[in-house]
Amino acid sequence: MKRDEISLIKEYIKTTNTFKMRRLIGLAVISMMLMASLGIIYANGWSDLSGDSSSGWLLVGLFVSASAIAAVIIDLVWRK
Amino acid sequence: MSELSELSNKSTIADSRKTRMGMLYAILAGPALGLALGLLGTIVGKAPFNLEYPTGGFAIVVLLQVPFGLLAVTVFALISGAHRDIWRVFRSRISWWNTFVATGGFLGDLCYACSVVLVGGAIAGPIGGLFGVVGALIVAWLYKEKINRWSTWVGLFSMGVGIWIILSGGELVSPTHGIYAFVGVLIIILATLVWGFENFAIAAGSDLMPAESFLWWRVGASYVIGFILMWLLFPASHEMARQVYSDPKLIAYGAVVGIGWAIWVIMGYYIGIAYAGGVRGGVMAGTFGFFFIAFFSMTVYGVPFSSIIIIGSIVMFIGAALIITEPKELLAIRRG
Repeated sequence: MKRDEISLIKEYIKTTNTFKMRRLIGLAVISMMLMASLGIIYANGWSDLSGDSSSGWLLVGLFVSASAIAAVIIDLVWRK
Repeated sequence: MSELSELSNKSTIADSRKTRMGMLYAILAGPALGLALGLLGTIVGKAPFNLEYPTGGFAIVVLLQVPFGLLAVTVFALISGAHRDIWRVFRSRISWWNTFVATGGFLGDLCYACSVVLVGGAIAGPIGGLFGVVGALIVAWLYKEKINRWSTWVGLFSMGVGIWIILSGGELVSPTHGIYAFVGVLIIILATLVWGFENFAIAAGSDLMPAESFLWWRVGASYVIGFILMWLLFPASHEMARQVYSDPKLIAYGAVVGIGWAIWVIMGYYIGIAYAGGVRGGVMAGTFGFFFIAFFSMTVYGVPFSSIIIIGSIVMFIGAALIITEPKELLAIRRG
């Protein structure tokens, strides 16, 4: 009985980690979609409607993507 | 036996770590919301959204923010495996209610866009961030989570002072003044109430299922309901839709707004609250995300810089931090 519980908990931890890995990949893909849109705006010089600093937009985009990916990596490493 | 007690000890530590991790998710998601809604705030007052006034706010949410957000959330659901739960959600009785309430969060998005037209993102952002505190109060009340400590009251007072500073400094950067600005502030306060309730819905729902699973419905249902309402009630939106979808520049802007918003909704809002609870996750997601809206509006998107707003936001953030700080042992007991 107790053995079963322990193996269940272990399986639960394993499954959770798999899902975290998939979450990491998911967020990385969305971040890439965001960077692609920002890249298109930068390449065409389209940021004139608001602020007129394409490089600023790109930098912020990089910052956003890095934070998103960092969060899941911290989650994976810190909460094994 | 000893292995079992070791596991239960591990689980207590894991609980408090999970709460801290949730707060970290909410903090790190902040810049994404600033990137998205800061941009939304600066383009909502421009063509073609200025064709007819309240319609522009509605149209930018329904035509750009939500469809691109839905695209990103769908991609995320497919990769993360949450797509399997999308239909399964309806087997649980509470999920209908939960989906309904979370969809109400869409009303908050609308209020935000309309308010931004009147007072600008630099003011609407920090006040909108208060939804976390409203949500925390609702969760504390319904879940009987004790937040009545001296630090809570000092925190609430500090947030009040922060808002007062922001409002006094914000007059300088607000597009409208007088009664229009006042109505704009009232609308954003309504948004904080609606979002606050959504905050509770996420906390309650994620006790039963992964937050990612009903997030898809929050965004998907928002899109369908919003689109039908807009198309029927606001004929001016037809012309806006035509102009928006024939301009590649606006579509690229929409992708930035929608995808950036989706990153925040997934990480900061839904996962953050699922991990850290409605009180801590909500307050963190709200104050941090909305601080970045004001910050990026003024640094990247060309809204005139006002150091008073930054100072007010920092005072507000200190208040929020006071509301949520407590020792990790207590965290584990309360959340466990």
